[in-house]
Amino acid sequence: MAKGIARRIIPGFAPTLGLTLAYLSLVVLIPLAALVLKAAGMGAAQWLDTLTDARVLAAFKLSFGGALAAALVNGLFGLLIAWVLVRYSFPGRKLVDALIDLPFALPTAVAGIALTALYAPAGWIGRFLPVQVAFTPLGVVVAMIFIGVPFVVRTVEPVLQDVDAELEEAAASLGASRPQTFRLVVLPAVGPALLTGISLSFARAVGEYGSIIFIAGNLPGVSEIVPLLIVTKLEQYDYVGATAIAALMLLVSFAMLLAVNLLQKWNRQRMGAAS
Amino acid sequence: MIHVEHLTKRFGAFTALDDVSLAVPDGRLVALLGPSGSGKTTLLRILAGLDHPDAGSVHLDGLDATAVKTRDRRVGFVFQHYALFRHMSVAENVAFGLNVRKGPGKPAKAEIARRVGTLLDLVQLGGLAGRYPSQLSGGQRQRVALARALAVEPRLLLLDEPFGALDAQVRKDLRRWLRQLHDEMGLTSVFVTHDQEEALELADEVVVMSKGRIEQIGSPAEIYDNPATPFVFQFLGNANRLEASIAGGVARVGHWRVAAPGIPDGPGVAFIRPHEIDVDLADPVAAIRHQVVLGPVVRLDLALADGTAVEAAIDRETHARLALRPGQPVGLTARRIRIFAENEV
Amino acid sequence: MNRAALKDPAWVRWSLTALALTFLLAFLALPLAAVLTEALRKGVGAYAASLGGEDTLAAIG
Repeated sequence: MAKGIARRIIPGFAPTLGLTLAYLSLVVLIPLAALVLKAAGMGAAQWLDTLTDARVLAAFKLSFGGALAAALVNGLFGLLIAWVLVRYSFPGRKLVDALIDLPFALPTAVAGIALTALYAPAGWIGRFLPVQVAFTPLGVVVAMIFIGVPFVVRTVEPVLQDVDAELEEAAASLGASRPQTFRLVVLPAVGPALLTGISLSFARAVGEYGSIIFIAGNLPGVSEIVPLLIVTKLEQYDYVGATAIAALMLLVSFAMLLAVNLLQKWNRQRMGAAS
Repeated sequence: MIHVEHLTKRFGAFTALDDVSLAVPDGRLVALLGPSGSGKTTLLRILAGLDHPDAGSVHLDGLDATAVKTRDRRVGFVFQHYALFRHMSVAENVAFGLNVRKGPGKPAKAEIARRVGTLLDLVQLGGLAGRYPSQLSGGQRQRVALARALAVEPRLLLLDEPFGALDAQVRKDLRRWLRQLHDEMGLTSVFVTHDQEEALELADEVVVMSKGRIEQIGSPAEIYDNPATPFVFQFLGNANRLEASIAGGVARVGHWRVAAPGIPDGPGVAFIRPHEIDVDLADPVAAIRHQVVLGPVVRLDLALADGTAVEAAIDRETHARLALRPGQPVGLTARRIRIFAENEV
Repeated sequence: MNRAALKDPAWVRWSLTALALTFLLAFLALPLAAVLTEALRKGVGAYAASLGGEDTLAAIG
């Protein structure tokens, strides 16, 4: 062990690692451990009871399904927006660029109320839509899209900027059309960043509360999201049920993020760039 | 056969190409030689269709290519930093140009694999088909880039500073190898370089460029022996640059008098290559300041009577026979002196 | 370099830009506009009065 430490070439490695771990423990690991402990305290039957409840299952389906749909929409449009911002110039480009970060800055409750007003049947947008958006699962997805946009745009943008123009020129000189060049050269180059952006957008959407509950309508079994269900259980002093749901949610989210990370690592290693 | 006529290209206020015309016959290996900013890379990019000229035309095999897109030109381009696709294996990189073809022109999968195999053998990378670019050395990457460009059977192969990013030994080997490949495959190639040694060693024909214009076109020997302009004289190899004054078709350069037919009276410039100066002990006109042995030759730093510095290169035997040492006064004979009028400089 | 070979046709540029801007309008610009109009609906005076409230000032810090 002493040998291992002596070999470190980075000065102050031990104290910085210690500090990082301590901070991470305090802020993330200990609360999570408490949650798991609390959940572990329940019997298996109680677990099963809580988690197989139709209302709970519907909420899970909506939270994860909606987040996935929103993340995919954000992946598509985030890539498009990043492409347009990086490659094309048009009047007001700087303004649009600034607008992207809006969901980071706007309090989620304010955003939720604004979205509800817009997408309500009589709202600015809602009145033109053939289907009702506000107070339905679709409304949940709309709010999830809103809060997830910047994650994709801001992760893809710098990578797209760094894609060597010579790569695209090489593809052109080899006879590739622009769509082929995009699909075979540009997309693989920004792929890892895009995947990161999509998973960030997904994770945020799963955990989002404030901006969704106004537009969702919160009809149990229809448009009720998991975080709201947890709050509801807490308000009913059903701590056990709330913890069980939270623990499962944590597990699923963690598994998905882990899978994405492993995928990225495998991809890097395949190309021999792992270090 | 490539014909380039009256090409002009500006980037804002900067004129990259100024009325450039050039013909490259089939089977030639042509070097575009010049310092950075001379327009050589711009010319290469216009040949590939990567940039459009502001004026002038490009004809490839008689076909007006000015309006033809890069991807329809069948021109192979090897980039200075190779521009390999990092997420594709060596074989996938080489197959790219065949895989993106559409319709009846696209070879069957087995045929593509066969051609990729042949090309990889040709560039001596047969065993590395499954590697990724990040796992290759610089020289290997360069050969992958070359194989990738050759896979589409280009009518013209363009190379931008093909050896610029390699170390000296690899560069020498690859140069010889590229020359051989060019001859064996019957390619027509144009490459850009700022290295005069590379241009002279590798090319059939050297195009010397400066400030967006062509200074001279000729074989390496012609370019070196008969530089058309002071720029070419200085850019290719070492040269002493001395002041001259011309009167009645005769130039005075130091103690030398040289015929300068057709050059107007007035001030001029004389160029003498160091190895075209002979040193003797007869009529001293200069003194040795310093001498350095450089392999088979000795370089002498001399000072003329008026203090002008002159460099001479003589072989080791002559140096030993004359028993030259620093401070010694010597006589100088120039076997060749080139005179240019002042306004040409 | 102007990289002529990488320039997309004008109709591609315009339609992609239009598509991106439409998305941003529906999901970002209009919500912002809604917030602002809502805040100013009762006039600038009411807005300023609410900003001056003790609770608001405490919240903004």
